[in-house]
Amino acid sequence: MNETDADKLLRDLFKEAGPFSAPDGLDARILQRIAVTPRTAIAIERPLLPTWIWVISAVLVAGVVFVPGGAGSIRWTAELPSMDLGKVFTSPWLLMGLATCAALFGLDAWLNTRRSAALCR
Amino acid sequence: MAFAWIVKEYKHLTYTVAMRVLRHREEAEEVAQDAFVKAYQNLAGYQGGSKFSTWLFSITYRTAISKLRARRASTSDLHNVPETFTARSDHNNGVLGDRRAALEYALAQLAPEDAAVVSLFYLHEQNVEEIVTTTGLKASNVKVKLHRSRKKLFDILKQHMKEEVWTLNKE
Repeated sequence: MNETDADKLLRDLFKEAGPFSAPDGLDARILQRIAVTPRTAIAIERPLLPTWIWVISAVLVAGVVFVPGGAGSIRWTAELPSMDLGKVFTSPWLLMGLATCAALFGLDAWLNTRRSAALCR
Repeated sequence: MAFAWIVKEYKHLTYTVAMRVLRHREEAEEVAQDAFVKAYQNLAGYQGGSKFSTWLFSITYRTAISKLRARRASTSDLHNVPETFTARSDHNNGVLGDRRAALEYALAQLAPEDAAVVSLFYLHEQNVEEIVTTTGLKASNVKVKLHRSRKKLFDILKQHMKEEVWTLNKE
């Protein structure tokens, strides 16, 4: 079988045949049912903190971090402890934390799939 | 009412998805109705991540599959006899009719799920990604189903279509 031939043939045949005609009065029956069906209200979820609070917080943090101190002051970066990043990234605490996050995200996705499937039953 | 427009626009294609899975007119109508009602009830849940038609066909396909499974579990009744071919054969006159009838006959030889996937691809013009969204199948599974169904349909059509019809199509 040449895949292109089969593809063309089927595309043409489906195009010629078209969809099935819905039974007469289907629209009316659906609209009748909808007329007595409650619709889920659209709930607009607002963020816990409004945007302007985040902007002010960001400006304050940037001010604290980047505004230089007076003469003789020490830059904050000099106060940071030196760390071996290799050890940090291979730390079992970090790895287990990441594994737990991945498991929780997986569980959340799976539960969402089940919820969508339940909706369609 | 905007939803009336949606019903008018999508009723044939929605009914066709249900028919491809169930092959039974009354059950397909019931599923089409249920799908529109579910869509109406859950319009707020439509996030716009996919096309509206894909979302609607997804509800229809899954509702139809649930009904098919319930039917298979409960009975070995006469509904299992596909009526797709006979339903369309009433008005199959002439060459065009023969070609239609041949397609319906060939589709009736596929499993309902496969017939629906093929229909979504060729009639509803969905790509693999959209079929995945509609059916919940994996992309690799959809591709395999499409490949096998295409080959099977092609073989059946080659046997059943009249020579002149075959020639016409080749032109």
